[in-house]
Amino acid sequence: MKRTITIDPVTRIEGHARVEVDLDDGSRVTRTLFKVMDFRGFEVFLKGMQVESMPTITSRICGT
Amino acid sequence: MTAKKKVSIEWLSGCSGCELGIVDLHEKLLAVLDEVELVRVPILMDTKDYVKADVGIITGSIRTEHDIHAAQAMRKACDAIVAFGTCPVYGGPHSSAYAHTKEELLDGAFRRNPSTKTSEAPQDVPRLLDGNRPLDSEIAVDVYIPGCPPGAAYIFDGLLSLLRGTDPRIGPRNVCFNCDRKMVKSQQPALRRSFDGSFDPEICFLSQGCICLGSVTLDRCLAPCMKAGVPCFACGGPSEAICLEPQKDVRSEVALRMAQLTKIPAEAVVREIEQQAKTHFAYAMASPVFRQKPTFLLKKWTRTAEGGR
Ligand code: SF4
Ligand code: SF4
Ligand code: SF4
Repeated sequence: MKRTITIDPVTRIEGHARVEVDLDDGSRVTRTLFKVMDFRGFEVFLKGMQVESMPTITSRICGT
Repeated sequence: MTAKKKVSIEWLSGCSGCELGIVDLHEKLLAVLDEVELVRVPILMDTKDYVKADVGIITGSIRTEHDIHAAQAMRKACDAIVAFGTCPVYGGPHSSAYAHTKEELLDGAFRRNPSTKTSEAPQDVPRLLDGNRPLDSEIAVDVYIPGCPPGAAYIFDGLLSLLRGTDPRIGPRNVCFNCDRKMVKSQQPALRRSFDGSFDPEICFLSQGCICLGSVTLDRCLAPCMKAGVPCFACGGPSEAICLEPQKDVRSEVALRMAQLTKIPAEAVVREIEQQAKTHFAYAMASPVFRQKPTFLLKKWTRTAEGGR
């Protein structure tokens, strides 16, 4: 029987994620998805900030 | 011995630096654990439910639809809610997304990002809200502990007083109070950036012409940055005076102080802070604190500085 195992949320990591594992009739893994559930927009809002603030603000992407 | 208080932690949109801030208590953590039982800590435990607790600690801001649900579930499950860190109190570093629309953020990261192959924003993930918001835009908050992350001494004092029902010893001092640099009068004629030449490590950055936000920032950190040669960039959020007094705002307060200490005209400092608003207001730009004073123009300043997008 085909089925999907979902782990949501994934704990003991930094941030928010979901894992989906699809299995076929023989319980073999056919596809695994790791989904990142949060988004803050650093790619965009860092533009236009002064360069000397980069070491301190980019450290806030993960774990200070 | 009285029963241990149950503490539950949930993170919204943040960086987990606040969870690490708790670990920074080191052996003092053992003293806290004598009085509490941790029932939910996503970074440490696999409890996925919003279990009942006496105290709910929430880190991160309201940025996605999931954050709203999680905040509401925590409010229902916990007797007291602590907004822990600058993210839930003021929005945190991603507050600077205030200068952009949601579509601009998604375009830059996914649809038109020159360094990835994606051409659309991810589907099947929690919906991104129009703006980034503090926690109390969504649920009632009982205790606010700003700081990015809050310093260990403040966490310890805040948590223990909450658990024991005593008054915290934390006062509303600004960062300058714990900075060892001396404010002295100087002949400094113009503004300098922190990479412009060398700075005297004993003397206040303002006296040396470099913008430092220590005097308008609440101390929840014991002022570590200036010891490391970096001017305060206000990651702990605005000082009590900025929060409470409508006529006081970050740029004019810093400008006034700098003009008294140096030969730099106050207007030049005000202009610089406005033009570099994205840098100087980065950590709390999303907060309504700035909407009730002349800084309500923040969005305009950042857009003008970036070529009037
Ligand atoms: S307040 Fe600062 S350290 Fe805490 S989660 Fe937000 S960005 Fe990270
Ligand atoms: S303005 Fe900055 S350098 Fe000067 S005393 Fe305050 S925190 Fe220290
Ligand atoms: S930037 Fe300012 S508020 Fe943040 S840790 Fe450094 S001294 Fe404290």
